[in-house]
Amino acid sequence: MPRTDTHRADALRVELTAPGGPYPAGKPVPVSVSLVAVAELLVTGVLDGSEDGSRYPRYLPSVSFEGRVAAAPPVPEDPLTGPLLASDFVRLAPGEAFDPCAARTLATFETFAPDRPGSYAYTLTLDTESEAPEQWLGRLGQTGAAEVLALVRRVPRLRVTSPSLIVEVH
Amino acid sequence: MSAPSDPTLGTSASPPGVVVLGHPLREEDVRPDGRVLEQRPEAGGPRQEVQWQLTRGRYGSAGQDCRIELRVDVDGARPQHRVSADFFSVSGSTTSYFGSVIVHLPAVTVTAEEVVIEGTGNFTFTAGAPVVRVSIPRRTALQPQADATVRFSAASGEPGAAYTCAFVSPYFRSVLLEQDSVTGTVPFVSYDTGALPQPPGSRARELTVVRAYAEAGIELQMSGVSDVIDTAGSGADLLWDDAELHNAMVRHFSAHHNVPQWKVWMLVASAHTGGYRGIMFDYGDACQRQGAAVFYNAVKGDGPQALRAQLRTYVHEIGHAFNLLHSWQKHLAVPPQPLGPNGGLADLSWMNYVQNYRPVSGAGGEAAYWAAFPFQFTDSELVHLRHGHYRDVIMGANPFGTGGAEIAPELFDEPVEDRSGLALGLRATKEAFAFGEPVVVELKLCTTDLRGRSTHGHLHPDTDFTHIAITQPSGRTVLYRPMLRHCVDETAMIRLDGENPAIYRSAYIGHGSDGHYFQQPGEYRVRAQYLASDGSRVVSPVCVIRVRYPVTQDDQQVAELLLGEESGKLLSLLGSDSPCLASGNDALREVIERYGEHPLAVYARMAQGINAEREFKDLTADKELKIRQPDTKESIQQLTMVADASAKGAGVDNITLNMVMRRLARAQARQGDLEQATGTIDRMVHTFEAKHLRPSVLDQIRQQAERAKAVLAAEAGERPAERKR
Repeated sequence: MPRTDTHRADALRVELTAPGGPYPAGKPVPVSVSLVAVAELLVTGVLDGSEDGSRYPRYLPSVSFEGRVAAAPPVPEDPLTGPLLASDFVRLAPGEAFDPCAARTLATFETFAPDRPGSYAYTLTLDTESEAPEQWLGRLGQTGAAEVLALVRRVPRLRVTSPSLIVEVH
Repeated sequence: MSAPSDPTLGTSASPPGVVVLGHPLREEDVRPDGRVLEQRPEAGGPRQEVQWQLTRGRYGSAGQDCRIELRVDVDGARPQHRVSADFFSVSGSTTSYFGSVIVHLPAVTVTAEEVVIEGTGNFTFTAGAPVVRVSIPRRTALQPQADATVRFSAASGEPGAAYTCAFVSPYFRSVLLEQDSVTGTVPFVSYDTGALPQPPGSRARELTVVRAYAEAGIELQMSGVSDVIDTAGSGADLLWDDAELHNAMVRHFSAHHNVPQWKVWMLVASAHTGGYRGIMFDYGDACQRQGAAVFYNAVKGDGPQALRAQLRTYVHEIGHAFNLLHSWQKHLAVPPQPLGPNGGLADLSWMNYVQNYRPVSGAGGEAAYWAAFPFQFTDSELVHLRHGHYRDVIMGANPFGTGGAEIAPELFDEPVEDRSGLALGLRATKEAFAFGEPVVVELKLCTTDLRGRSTHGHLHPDTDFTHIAITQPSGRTVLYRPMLRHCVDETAMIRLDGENPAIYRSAYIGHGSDGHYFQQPGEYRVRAQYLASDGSRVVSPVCVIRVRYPVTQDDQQVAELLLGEESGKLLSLLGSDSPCLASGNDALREVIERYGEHPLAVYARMAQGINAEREFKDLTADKELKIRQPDTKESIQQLTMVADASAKGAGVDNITLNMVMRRLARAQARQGDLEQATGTIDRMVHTFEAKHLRPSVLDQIRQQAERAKAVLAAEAGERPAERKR
């Protein structure tokens, strides 16, 4: 496993794409997410609790319309999240892309259906800046904590927001 | 261990009889409200409707050795087509959980006279008669509910036990809910499900939390006790963290005990440090799932949307207390459960998140969830709530999301009813043990009956009356089995009362017939069970024992020497000359000679010193009895160092120190120095006086000291020449 600088905000990029368009109102927009490594690094995809911010890494989606937030994760329901596993980590080589939603999708992007025509701005923020590695652990069925915490320590600490993906809806 | 016998075999809890199945099936019609209608033609007249009682609900048997709680679920609202039961063994004045059974999809035969349900059960224990047959006479709505008869039989048809179970309740389980709130919060009351659009199949009704569980077949009985908690309990920031919530539960939940019980506490608090809507916060200790909280700042509002969401959060968090996992987490349970459609995200359940809802087809998300959610649990969740094995569901038993262990942990369960008048205490003699340090626990038996109680005094786990279970850091639970079990035939009755409130024993449980039990650093959970004279099974609270990691190279070396198998045997035996244990003695000598200043060296000195103080008989291979005489000089040297270190708090525990100092005095007396011996006994009393032990314990030590001095003096007078040698 690579040893990474623990504070490298430029270690990766978050990119959102949506094929084609414009999109009809009343249906979710098929947004794809990609993490692109700038340097070699270790990262995980979206985990149980990542989207509502109840555990790290945080994947915080947002959709804006006419300057106001149209969709965002609700207040976290409760913190009883599933375990962090060694198999959740992926190592990315420089230039390599990874879909963090391959195992767990982001409900906000997947279920938000723009209801009015216009331009919608989609963004996604990846936040790994936990105060303690233990904030990455699950509270249900967590085993092998020592092993996964060692991996957590190798994930660069960063908070990166994707460029806005502008989606036209009519 | 005196485990209860198989409750599916042997003595019946009711007189044996024959259940007659006489009449062929009639056409049945189960109405949506669960009532069963039957068309009964009357001779020469019009067909008349008969309204039958449902069989659904909970039944209970009495019984001298075993009683069962039966749940029948083949009719009524959302029947899950299951029969399940929990078995409880009755021993003396105590009743303890024994095991559970569930029959999935049994054959149901309905005649004019009775309902018969039959199938092979899945038991938590090996049942000798695994086929379960439940028969319930049919009763009309005007008649009292009938009893159920449960008969067990082997697959061959050989009959087993039978129980007659009286009808208890139409609810499958009944739980006491105590709800407290923090000043400034407004607890949820009810939501009219017709206030907002809902799915066509879901009728409009006023739903409370209690009503939502009632629809699932679970009775929540609201406690009459309801505190309003001052916000000072959450600290200066007015935010609650899990530790503060747990502390609030311990302080304010009037029914709180760290035992399995059908009781749960709900706190309506202001806000959590994590910003959550709710939490089942009791997921980190030995007795989990006893408390949940809802955070008013995150859920407040009096509009229909807010009330609907509040209802969901309250029911959801209490669901966790029943050991229900989130819809997408069922596979994480131990043992894993199947996920619903779409990885569980398509579940229309109280346990799903509204925003996570993804149906198999069509739009997902919050709006889709509410448009389709009929305010209910899924069928698999109903099976868990109604029929899950006792320890998997009851609050305070199996940890959140997890299941069993290697020994039958039920044998160490807190009795569900305890009128023994006795209490068993178990405590570690140190806050934390060093790696390799012999683990010694102190057992205390006292009475809870002001009138006093008589029982036997066999409290040491070397007897058949006291057992100790050790849950290791890995989660494996093992039974401590002493190297030598002491058979005790004599009654040795003691009276526990105001004059003699308790008896104590110190037990080395670090090593037994299975080897070392504390072979790795970490946290161990230990509890003891004492079988009283009247058969009552008295269980101690769980005692947490911590074994520290070695810090220095010497720590590691000494631990390795003490954790050798033969060293463990020598510590169990308090020394031996046996040639079979020669390498163990070499290891203990190495500890003394190379690491004599190490804190753990006192244990090696103790084993060597006590062994030296007594003679050792060795029957050689050619049947020659060789007797090694006591080596009083060696004994005095080693035991003096143990006593000196322990008096300063750096050695053995108090009960062991008591024994060491009396052995030291005996060695001194045997060496001919009675004055020094009595001086050691006096020093023992002074040592314990300086430790500020309880007055009753000090009195016992003083009396013990006087008796010891008298014995030493008598022995010295009887055989002075031998003693001087």
